Amino acid sequence: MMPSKKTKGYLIVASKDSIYYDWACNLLDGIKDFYPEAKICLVVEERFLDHRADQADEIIFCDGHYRAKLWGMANSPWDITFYIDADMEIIHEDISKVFDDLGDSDMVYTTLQPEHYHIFADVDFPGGRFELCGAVCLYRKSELVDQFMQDWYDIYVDQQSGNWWPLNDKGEYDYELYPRCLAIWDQFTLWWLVNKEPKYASLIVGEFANNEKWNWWSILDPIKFPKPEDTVLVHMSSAASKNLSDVIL
Amino acid sequence: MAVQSRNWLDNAFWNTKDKDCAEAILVIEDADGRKISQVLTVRKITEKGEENPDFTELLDVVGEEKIDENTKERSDRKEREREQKGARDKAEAQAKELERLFDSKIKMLAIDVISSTKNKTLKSKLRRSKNIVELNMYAQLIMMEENGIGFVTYDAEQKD
Repeated sequence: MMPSKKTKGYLIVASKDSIYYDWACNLLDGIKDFYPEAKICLVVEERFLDHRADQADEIIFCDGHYRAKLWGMANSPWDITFYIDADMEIIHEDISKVFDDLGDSDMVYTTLQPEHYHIFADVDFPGGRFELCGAVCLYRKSELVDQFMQDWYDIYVDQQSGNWWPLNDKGEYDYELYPRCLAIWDQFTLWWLVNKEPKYASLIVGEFANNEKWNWWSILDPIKFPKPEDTVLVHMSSAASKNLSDVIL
Repeated sequence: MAVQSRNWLDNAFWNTKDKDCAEAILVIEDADGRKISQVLTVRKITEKGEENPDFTELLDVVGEEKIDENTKERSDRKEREREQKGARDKAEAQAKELERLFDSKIKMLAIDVISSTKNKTLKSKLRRSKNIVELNMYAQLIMMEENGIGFVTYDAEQKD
């Protein structure tokens, strides 16, 4: 019997504010512009849905949580998924080749480059340093990866609402190693799961060989950091930051 | 205040090309060891038309050659700073322009007539616009086509 072919597709999530839906539809159409055969799943709040989502191959309804993206990632219909933040824009046909970068990894992320640290609000903290960026994620479906994504969402929700935080030796929330200001970042949850959670130690977490190809920040100084010719995704980061106040505790 | 000592710092520089006015820091120390620094504009000739003893003292202590050197170093540094600021401002403007373009695209693509067009070619061109002028142009073309004014562009997918 022939092994069944793995499905490969893109995942975009729009929740909480209709602007995310506007961005998501632009991204959806952008992917189809460059790669008409692309399979795209849109995870969206039902109230936003209109004809612009017609190009989506799969639609999954989510709730209105700011980080429904994490829930969406846990529920991707594809065997191999490339998740993309909605506030990104496709500018190169190589979007069709992203799946080649998975290799033997279970998950592949872009990373925070030291020369770009100045554009991030938090990078270093006493207990560690953010290295992975959750703006895009290429991952392979498996029981463990699904569980990872679900934990990413569940723990983030608890973290944000004050119901979860790493504990110190006394069994209290450890705000010395992990300052309270990190609570707004799902990146902190990601860091915790990748670096501190034993059950995920066996996951192979990779990094894209060419960060800027898959996540070029629009707020980067284009003279110091010119956009590479083969950049596929531009991250409209200041657009996203407009809504950051939504998640401040 | 009884002045114990006067010391001109060696970072003085010329304010004029004629070298008849310098900017300098004078540190005065009183009998109790308290130091007071003053930034002074030291002119060669006072308002009364007399030789300024501060100017003479400054040249004696720091020396004309050192002041020349400071002036050149300062002028080069200012030029570098101007260039860096210019580049920074340009970069910032480019980044803002990119964000503005994206915001405008999103707004246009949310307009019903534009989002519903079947002319994928024009819509794709609109999405890939490199500046606001191009963006406006494609938005207008779509609006004209959708409203039946002007012309209908060739679109292979439409014909199919």
